[in-house]
Amino acid sequence: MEYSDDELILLFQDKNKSNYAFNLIVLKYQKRLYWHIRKIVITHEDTDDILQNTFIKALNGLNKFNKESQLYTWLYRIATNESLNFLKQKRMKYFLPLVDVEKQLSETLESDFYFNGDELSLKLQKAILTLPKKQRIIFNMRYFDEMKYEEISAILKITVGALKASFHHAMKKIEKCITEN
Amino acid sequence: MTTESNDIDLNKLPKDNPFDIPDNYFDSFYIKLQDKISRKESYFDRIIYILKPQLSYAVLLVFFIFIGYSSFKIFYKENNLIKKDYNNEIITSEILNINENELTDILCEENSQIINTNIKDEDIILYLADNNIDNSEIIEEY
Repeated sequence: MEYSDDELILLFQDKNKSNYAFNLIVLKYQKRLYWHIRKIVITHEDTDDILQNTFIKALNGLNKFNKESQLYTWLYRIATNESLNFLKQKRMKYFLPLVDVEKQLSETLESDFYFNGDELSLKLQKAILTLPKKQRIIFNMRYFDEMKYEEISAILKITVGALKASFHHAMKKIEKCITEN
Repeated sequence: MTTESNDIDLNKLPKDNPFDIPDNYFDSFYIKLQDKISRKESYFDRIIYILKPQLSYAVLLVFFIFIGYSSFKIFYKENNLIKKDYNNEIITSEILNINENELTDILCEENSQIINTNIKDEDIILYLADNNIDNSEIIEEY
């Protein structure tokens, strides 16, 4: 039996059932959030860490969740922020300018045990990695997850117009990158 | 995949997921997550348990410092008050010992320097008058 988001929140507010409700939330959203994070940080191990941190943050914030947004929008937002913070920390940890982090991720792709795409998939992923972080996220959500612009707008708090423009530019850059390579 | 002009048709690019995950990853994820949450909670409890005595000592120390400081301030204030009273006593008793005639002589002396004692001249005259001292020369002077 699958509960709706509102039902899950109500269940969570019952102290005797909060643990059960939290587990249901994890089971409902773990896959979607995992793949969202994975496309940003590339490696499975980093994704696993970030996903756990995302749910722990969600657990700590669920009591204060004010239903201004939908539950999954809120979870997506936490996951996105955690991923971006991870990349930021990685850059600061190794004193790398942004472009080197993306280069490192690109190199990881080729040698990653858990990457099983063909040559064209590899080219596409490398091209996506050349995009600025936020543009990469917008591209992934629109292209791979096929999310509506309104949903992406609610998660990233960017206007629909800006999202459309960003996605259009991302497509152009990727096209150019793949053509050149 | 490519058109005759070698332009990439982006709509024909792979949309399937090129990433893989370990077997049964999602089946065991929530168990791993619960473990992590329990460990975090117990870690936090352990920190509190270890720090509790130190925290108590710190609070006690701050409390005693506060008591000591407050006591010092009160004592210092009282001491100052006592000093003032004592000073007033000395002044009162010395005044009683002053010889009015000698005082008159000094005041009438030429080139005498009067030290500013914050006592008004009218008060001195009034005092001499109240005590039936011949003050005609003094009044003339002032």
